[in-house]
Amino acid sequence: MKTTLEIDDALYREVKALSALTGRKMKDLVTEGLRHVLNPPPVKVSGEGEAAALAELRHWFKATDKAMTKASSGPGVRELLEADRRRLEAP
Amino acid sequence: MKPVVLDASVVLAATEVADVFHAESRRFLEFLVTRGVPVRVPAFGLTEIACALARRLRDPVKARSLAIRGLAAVRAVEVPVDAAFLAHATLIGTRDFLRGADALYAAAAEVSGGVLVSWDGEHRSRAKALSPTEWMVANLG
Repeated sequence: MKTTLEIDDALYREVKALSALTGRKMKDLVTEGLRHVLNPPPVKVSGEGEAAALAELRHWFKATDKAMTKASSGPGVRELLEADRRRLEAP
Repeated sequence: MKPVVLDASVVLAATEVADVFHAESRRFLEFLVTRGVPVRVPAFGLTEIACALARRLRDPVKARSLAIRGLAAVRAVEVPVDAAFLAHATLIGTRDFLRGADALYAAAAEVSGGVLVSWDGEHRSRAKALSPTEWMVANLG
């Protein structure tokens, strides 16, 4: 359904920036926020947080592996960073 | 344990198998999360990581997503780059003859009471940074 909401200006700007950065629609972010309010995640016991973080990290490793298979040949990503950092130091 | 201030070079090395520091970077990041080591990154770090990935992948959306997800996975907390922080970075950068961008990382380490961990030789020679390998040796005992 459609509705009208009043949102704090600063909060709106932050969410708008997140939307632009991630490519996710505003309506999806608002929906996720409302679901979070209705069903907050349970407090994690010691050790569970680290296990979840490790799983998330390994998932990210797989995502980067997949993304890099589509990269064309050329300087590596860290080499690009180093070149950016040093380009003004060349004589 | 003291916070680790993570340089973009470590995150980026972890993304690419062909990088000479790839395996060691992944081992280090796994070490951080399994030990619950607090991680800090100057807000500028996200920009550096995302832009380097975008140039490598030629895919801006994927690059932004991977950069955000990578820092979230290691539970990185952003150090805001505001006027007070920049003043501190200026002090440190001029004192230690750093490049401007490097001063941001060095200042993040000082402000957070942490250790800068980086593959960047300039960080290690001038900004008291440790490589991931050196950091793990020091903290594994």
